[in-house]
Amino acid sequence: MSYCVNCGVELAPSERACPLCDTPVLNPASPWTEPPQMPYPHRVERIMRRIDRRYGAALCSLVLLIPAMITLLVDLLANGQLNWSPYVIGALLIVFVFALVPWYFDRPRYLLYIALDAATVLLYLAYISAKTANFAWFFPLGAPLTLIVAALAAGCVVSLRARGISGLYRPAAMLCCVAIACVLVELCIDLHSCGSFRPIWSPLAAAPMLVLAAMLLLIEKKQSLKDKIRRRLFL
Amino acid sequence: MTHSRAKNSAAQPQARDEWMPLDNAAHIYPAARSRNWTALFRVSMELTEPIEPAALERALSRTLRRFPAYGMRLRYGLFWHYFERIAQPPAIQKDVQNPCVRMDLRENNGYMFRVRCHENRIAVEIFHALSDGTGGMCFLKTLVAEYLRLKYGAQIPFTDEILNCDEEARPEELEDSFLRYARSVPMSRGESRAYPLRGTHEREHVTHVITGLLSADAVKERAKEFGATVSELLTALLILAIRRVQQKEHSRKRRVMPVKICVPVNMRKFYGSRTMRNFASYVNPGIEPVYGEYTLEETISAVRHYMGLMATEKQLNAKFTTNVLSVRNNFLRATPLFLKNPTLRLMFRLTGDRQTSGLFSNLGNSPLPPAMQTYVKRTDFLVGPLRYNPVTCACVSNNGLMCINFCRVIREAEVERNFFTSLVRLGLHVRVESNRAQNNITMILR
Repeated sequence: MSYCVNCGVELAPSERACPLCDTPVLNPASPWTEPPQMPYPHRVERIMRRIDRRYGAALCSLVLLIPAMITLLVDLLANGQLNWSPYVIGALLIVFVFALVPWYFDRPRYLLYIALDAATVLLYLAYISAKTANFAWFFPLGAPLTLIVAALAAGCVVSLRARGISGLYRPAAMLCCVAIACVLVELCIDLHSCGSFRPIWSPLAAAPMLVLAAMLLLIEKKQSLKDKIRRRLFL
Repeated sequence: MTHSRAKNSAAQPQARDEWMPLDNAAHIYPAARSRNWTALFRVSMELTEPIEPAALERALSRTLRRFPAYGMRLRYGLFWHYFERIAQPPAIQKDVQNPCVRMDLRENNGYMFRVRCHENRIAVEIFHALSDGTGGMCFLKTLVAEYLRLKYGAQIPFTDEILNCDEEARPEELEDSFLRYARSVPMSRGESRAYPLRGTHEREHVTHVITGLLSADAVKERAKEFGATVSELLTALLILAIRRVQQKEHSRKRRVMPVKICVPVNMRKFYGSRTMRNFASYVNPGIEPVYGEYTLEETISAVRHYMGLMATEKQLNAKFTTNVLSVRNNFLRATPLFLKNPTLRLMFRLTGDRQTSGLFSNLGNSPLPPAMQTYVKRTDFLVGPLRYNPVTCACVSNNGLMCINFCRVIREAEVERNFFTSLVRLGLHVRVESNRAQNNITMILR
């Protein structure tokens, strides 16, 4: 008969260490040996994953192939060549990358998804530009805007998931990302339309966001203020 | 208080019915279950000699004749789930190290319970849609009595809880007592959110069980010293065990959230119901640490007074009347099941585990006739992990031995440790055992 020196409970002969605190049983008079009867068998019941995500993704991909094939056939039969169907197939490819590719991964890899999504959209836009033989809008506008949105999404993901960022620092970091994205979007549009940067709306959008972010940073640093706000906003 | 007059009699299922609707409390469980979780509980008895599976199988097929609701599978209807009779017999399974792990309702011929044996122990794990703890214990007692009759020729008398398997089930054993006894005035389900226990979640198939064995008389005596019942004392100790975990939280908001425990209440005692299906309600006693620290005496007093106020026939009736009225609502009845399921799941998320920090279910003293007791060493009751709360506690006493079973799906055993060391500090002798594989401990000891 052994007792846990830490918890004061008697341990059943089946216990090699206290199940409550992991303190080992050290009884020099009778070292622990497995008793003939254990309270539970060694066999462990495992839960089989009934839904195979990859299988589901493959199935949905096949379903996506149906509209792709139909548009391809209709386009070929009607025009005798690929005319408009590549646009539809490209859009379906984007749906596949945005919605189904994450299912192929066991763990969420948000930054990788964003990179893949951005690359697919860039490819699609480049194809449209090539097809229409007009790259005038792709390099100055289409590609930079896609990259800005992807960078904004990546910045938000990092703000939400980074271990070093907590509490109100998270919304503050996200607000900063959105403010920077606003300025960059207007910069791209201005450079494309008039060749120079003339900020009009982006400072109006970015300034309150930056001020709000600074306020959140200050509030986060002062616990008493946080408590006071919580009290005042108590529902 | 016994209500002899049925106020809301409805068409109730009969023993020979090929199908039956779910009882009022059961609707939530099929909707709330997930790929990794089923609401399960387990009752078991340890006998003096090893179990013979062939005899147990015969006893089970006889027992099922008296418990026709157990011989059913869950089916999807257009508007509701329903139970449908199964022709094939259930199989006896070998017990496992991780009890109450998710039940796949397509396995075992679709039965919503599983009978498992290991050395001297017979265990029954039951899906909560089928029955509650009292009904499950009655099923186990009848099964074990049948087994002892077949194996040893024991002369075990029939009682309210050990039923005669040569007789057909009575209609009152299959009735939905919620429908029968519900009145017309509901009560709000709304309650403040309780402190949610957190910890390092184990993999989906890992369930830790720690059992504390105590003298039932000693616990009763100690409870009497505090002017409380055994349930009230143990609930108060569990609240304080969780409170000690809560005190270590970094967030002030989480440090002062109410600590509440869900305590199921058997409704049969109020109405004299003999149903073998669900007929239990619950109360959520607790403390509010935002007002200061509670001593054990204060916690017991808070629990006792809360129970005195809330665990009454009137309050509990109003509570289950709310559910009955929802089910009777014509709009809800006509809503297809595929829309009802997510709604019920949302309701379960908002008003289920969220309002409590844990669960304490006490079946009380579970006596056996002397002719049966000579073969039975111990009775256990275990509630499987809840959907959102990681620790549950269940208790039953038999022949002077109280078994308190904790079931948890997180790595940390702090609640159990706080609970059992409190009992030790009260001067009670506690013996603990667990389902831990002892060869894994070598790694911990290093």
